[in-house]
Amino acid sequence: MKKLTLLISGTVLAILVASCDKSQVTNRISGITSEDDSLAGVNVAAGETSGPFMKLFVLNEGKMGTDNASLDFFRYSNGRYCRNTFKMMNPDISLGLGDVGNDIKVWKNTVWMTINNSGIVEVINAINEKHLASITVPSCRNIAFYGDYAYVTSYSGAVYGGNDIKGAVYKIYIGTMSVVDSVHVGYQPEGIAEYGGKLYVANGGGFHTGYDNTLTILDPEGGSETENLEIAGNLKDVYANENGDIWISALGDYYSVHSGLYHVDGTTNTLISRSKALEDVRVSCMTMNAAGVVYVIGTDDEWNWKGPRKYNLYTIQPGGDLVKTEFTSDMDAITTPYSICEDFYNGNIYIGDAGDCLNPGKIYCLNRDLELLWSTTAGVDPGHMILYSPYYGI
Amino acid sequence: MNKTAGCLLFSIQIFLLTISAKAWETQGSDSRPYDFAVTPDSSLIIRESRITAGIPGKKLMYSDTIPSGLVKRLPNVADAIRLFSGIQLKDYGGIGGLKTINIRSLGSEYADIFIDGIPVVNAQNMQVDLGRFSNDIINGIRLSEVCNPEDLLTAKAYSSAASVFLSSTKPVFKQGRTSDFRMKIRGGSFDTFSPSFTLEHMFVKGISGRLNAGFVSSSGKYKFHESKWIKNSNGTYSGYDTTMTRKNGDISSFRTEGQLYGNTKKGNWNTYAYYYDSERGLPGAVVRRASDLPDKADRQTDKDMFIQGKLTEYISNVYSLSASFKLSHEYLRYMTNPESDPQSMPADNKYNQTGAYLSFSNRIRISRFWKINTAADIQYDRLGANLTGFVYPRRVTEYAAVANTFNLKSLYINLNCTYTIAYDKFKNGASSQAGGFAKSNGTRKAFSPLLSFSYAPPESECLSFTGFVKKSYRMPSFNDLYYTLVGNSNLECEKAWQYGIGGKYLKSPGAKFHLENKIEIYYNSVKDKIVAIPTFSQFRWTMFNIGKAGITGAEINTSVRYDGTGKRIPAFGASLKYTFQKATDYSDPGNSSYKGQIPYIPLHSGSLSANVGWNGWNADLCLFISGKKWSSSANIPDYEIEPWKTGDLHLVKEIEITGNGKGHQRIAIGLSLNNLFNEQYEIVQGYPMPGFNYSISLEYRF
Repeated sequence: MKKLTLLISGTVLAILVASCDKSQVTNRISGITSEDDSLAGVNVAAGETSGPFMKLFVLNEGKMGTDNASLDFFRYSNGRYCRNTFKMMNPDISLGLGDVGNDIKVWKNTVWMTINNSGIVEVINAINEKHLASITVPSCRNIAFYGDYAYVTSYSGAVYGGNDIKGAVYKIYIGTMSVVDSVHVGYQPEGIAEYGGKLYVANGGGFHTGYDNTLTILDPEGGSETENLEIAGNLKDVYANENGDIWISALGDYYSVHSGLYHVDGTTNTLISRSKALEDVRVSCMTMNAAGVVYVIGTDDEWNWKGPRKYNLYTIQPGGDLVKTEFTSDMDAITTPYSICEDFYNGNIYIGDAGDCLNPGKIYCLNRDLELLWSTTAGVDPGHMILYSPYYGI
Repeated sequence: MNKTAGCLLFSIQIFLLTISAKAWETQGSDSRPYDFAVTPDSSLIIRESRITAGIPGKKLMYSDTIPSGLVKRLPNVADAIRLFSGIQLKDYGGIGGLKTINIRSLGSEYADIFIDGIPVVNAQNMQVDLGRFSNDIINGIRLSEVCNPEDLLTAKAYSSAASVFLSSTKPVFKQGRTSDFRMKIRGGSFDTFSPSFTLEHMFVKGISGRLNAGFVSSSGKYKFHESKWIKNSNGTYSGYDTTMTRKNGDISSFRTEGQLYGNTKKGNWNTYAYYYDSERGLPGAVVRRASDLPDKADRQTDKDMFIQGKLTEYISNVYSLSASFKLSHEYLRYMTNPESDPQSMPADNKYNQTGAYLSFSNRIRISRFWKINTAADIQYDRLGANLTGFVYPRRVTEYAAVANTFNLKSLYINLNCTYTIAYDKFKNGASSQAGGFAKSNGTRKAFSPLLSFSYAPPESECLSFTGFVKKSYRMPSFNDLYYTLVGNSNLECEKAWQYGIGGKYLKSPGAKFHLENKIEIYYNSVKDKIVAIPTFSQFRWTMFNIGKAGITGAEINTSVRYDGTGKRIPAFGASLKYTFQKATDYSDPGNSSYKGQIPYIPLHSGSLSANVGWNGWNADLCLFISGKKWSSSANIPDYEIEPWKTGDLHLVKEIEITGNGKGHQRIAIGLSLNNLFNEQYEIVQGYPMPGFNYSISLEYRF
C-alpha cells in the first residue's frame, strides 16, 4: 500500500477513485477467478465487495528456527479469512515459505516478501499466491520499489570492520528478478522508502556498535550514498508521502530512551523539530495509508515490563495534524499490537496482535470509530499487512 | 548478611560435629543389626547396594542404575542415560550436538549431574552437556529421581530435585599385576574417528591411578529427509519429500582425564582431573534457506577443566566424615563467520566461567534405628564475557543439609532438609542494564524439605512400597538474571513440589533368575517458573517468574535377568520401561497455551533393552519409542514433533589372546548399528537426527 503511494501521485489516485463507479469496480473484482478460490477459509465478516481491494495480505513472521512464516489473506469478495495460503497453493515448495517473514509489499500483480532467516525474497502471483521467484538476499529486511527495480535492505554487506558489518541495499531488476547491484549503507538497515527519486534507509544498528542513528539517503541511479542524516538511535520504519513527508520510527534502547517518531522534510532532507505532542508519540508499529496519513500504535507504559499496558492510536495527517486516541474497550483484547493497516477507501483499520508471540496471533478489523467489526486468528506473529487491488497496480 | 549466614552455617557445622562426637562416645560399641555400610569404597554403585541391603532383596529408596557393563558397551554415556524411564534426553543430533537431560519434566535446569559425588555446575545456563563424558571412565550411572538415600553426600545432592550420578570405577588389577593398558579405536558413520587409550597403574598397595585420553573427530555430515503432504480438495495429496545433508556439524575434541584412588587407615580418597577441548560447527535449525547461500559457518570452541577430590574417613561405627573440593573453569567461544556465511551477523562471544566448591559431610549413627547425615557446601561461581554491557556476575551459594534416616525394620524413613542461600553480585556500570531495572544485588534463599518412606511388609518377601514429598527449587541462572537486555535480576527461585508413591515387586524364582517390577506415580507442581516473554515490544523479551506447570507421571519398569555364567550357559537380561507424563502448562488462563502439554514432553514414551552374553559374545538391543510432542506449550501444528521409534544393536566379541583364561591380553571387537529402522526423526524441532548409522570399535588390552 505504501508502495502505491510511491507509484501513483495523489492526484491520479483521487481521480481513479472518484471516476470509478463503485459497482463497476465491484463487478470487475468479483469477476476475477483464482485458483485460491478453493481455499474456503473462515467466515469473519459479510463480504465487503464495495471496495477496490481484492485481498488484505497478512505476513506472519513465525517463530525463529521453526520455519513457520506464513501468508494469510482476507478475501473481500466473500469476507473469508484464509490461513497459510502460501503453503496451500505451493505444496511442493520444500520447507514452505521459510523462517521469519519480515516485510510484504505489492508490485503490480505480484507480492514480494522478505524471508529474513531464509535469505530469500519470495515473489508470488498476487491473484493466486503461486510462486514466481525466490531471489537470494541474505538477511533481507524490507522492500521498496522504484522504477524497474526493487530495493531490499539487508543486514548483510561486504564491509567488515573488526566485529562490525555494515548493511546494504540490494538492487533487484524486476524484469529478471535478479540482484544486479548492492550498495552499503549504515549498520543493520531496516525500513526503506522512496521519495523524489531518492531512497531513504533507516539504520537500526544493535550488533556490536550499539545503535545506529542515521538515515541514509541513497541515489538509486548513481547507486551511491548521498547523505547521512542523524535522527535517533535504533531506527525502524520509514514511510514517505508524495508531499515529501518522511516519517521515521525509532525503537529507543528499551530502558533509557523511549521509542519515538521523527519527521524529515524530503524536499530539503532536514530533520523537522518535533512538537511536544509528536515528542510524546511512542511506537510499537506504524503504517502510512495511500493518502499519506500515518497511523501509529504505541504505549505510554513502555517500561512497565509486566503490563498491562494501555495503547494509543496516533494519526498524523499529511499536514502534520496529530490526533491521539486511546484504545477503545473493543480493543482491550489486543495485547501486543504488532502491525497496522488502514483501508483508505472505507476507513477500516486492521491491527495484527502477536499475543505471546508463540501462539497464533489475531487480526482485528475496526471501523473508523474504532468499533470492532470482526477479529480472527492469524498465524504466529502477524507482523506485516498490505492491501491488494488488481486495478491499482500499474 | 553474607558473613552472618556464613557464620551461621559454620556454627551449624560445629554444632553437628559436637553432637556427632558425643554420639560417637556414647554409642561407640553399639551392635548393628542393620548395617549402614561402613566399609570403605569409592564406588557409589557398590555403596548404594550396601545401603539398600537393610532389607534384603528390596531396594529401600527407588533409584535406577544402568549396569556398568552396559555403559561400557554402548558408544557413549548419553546413549546409556537414554535408557532410564521418566527422562527426556534432549539431543540436537550428531556427534557434536548438545545433549541434556530433563528428569520428570521439571526442566533440565533441575537435573543435577554429579561426578563421583561432586556436582558439575554450569551457573551460566544450568545445563550440562552429557556428550562430554566418556564411558572409558564413567561406568556407573545412577538416576535418582527424587531423593538420594546414600550417606555422606554433599548438601547439594540432598537438595537436588533430581540427579544423575556418574561415577568412575577404581581400577581393579588381576593377581600379580600392577599395570593395565587399553587402546581403543572407534570409527564409523559421519567420518567419525576416535582413538583413546587408558593406562591404569597401582603405585603402591592402596594407591592406584588412571590416565585416559581420547580424541574424537567427525564431519558430522548425514542425510535426512524433510517432507510434508497436504490433502487436496479432490482427495489427492501434494507436497514435497526432499533429502538434505546436515552440514557444519563437524567436531574435533580432545579429552584427557586422570584419577587417583587411595586408601587411608579407615577410609579412602580419590581425585579426578579433567580437561576437554573441542572445536565444532553449529549446524543450526533446519529452515528454508536460499539454495545459493553458502553453508552455515557458526563455530563453537570449548575448553572445560576441573580438578576435584574427595576424602572419606570411616572413623568409627558411629561417625564418618567426608570432605570434597572442586575447582573448575569453562571457556566457551561462540563465533559466526559472516565473510563465509553472509546470512549471519558478526559475533565473537567469549565466556569464562570459574567455579570453586567445598563440601563437608558427616554421618552419625545415633542409634541402631537412627542415623543423621549432615553436610555443608559452599560454591563460588563467576562469569565473564566480552559482551557489551555485561555485568560480570559472581555468586556464592551456601548449602546446609541435615538428613535423618530411620530404619525401623520394615519401615525406612528419610527426613531431610536443606537450606540454601545464594548471594549474587554484579558490576553496576553505566552500561550495565541487567534486566533494565533492578540494580540491587540479590540474595536468594531456598528451603528444601523431604519426607520419604519405604515400607516392606514383613510378611512378604517380594513387595515394597515407597512414597515421598519434597520441595525443590532451582536458582535462576546467570543468563536468566543478567543476560544483556533479556535478563531480569529481580527473579526469584523456581519452586517445585514433588509427590510420589511407588511399589516394587522383586522375585527370584530361581537362584539365578530374577524378576523385578516397579511402578511409580508422581505429581510435580512447578511454580514461579522462569520463562521469557515479550514485553511491550517483540524486540524486547524479558525473563519472568510467571510460569506454572503440573506434571502427572507414571513409570512402569519390568526387568528380568538370568545370571548365566556367560560361558556355556548364556546370561541374559531384559528391561522394559514405560513412561507416561501429562505435563501441563498452567501459566496463564487467558492464553491459548493454557493447559497445553509443555515443550518436548511426550505423553507416552518407553524403551526396551535386552542383553545376551555368551562365550565372549555380547549383544545389546535397545529400542526407544516416543509419542507426539511439541516444541512449545502452544500445542499447534507448527510446533508439533512427530512420534518416533528407533533401535540400536550393539555387538561385542571379546577374545583372549594368551590362553588358559589367565592371559591379560584381550581384544574386544565391537559393532554398533544405530537407528536400525532408519527412522527420520527429530528430538528438538529443526534438528534432525541421523538415520541408520554404525560404528566399529577395536580395543586391545594388555
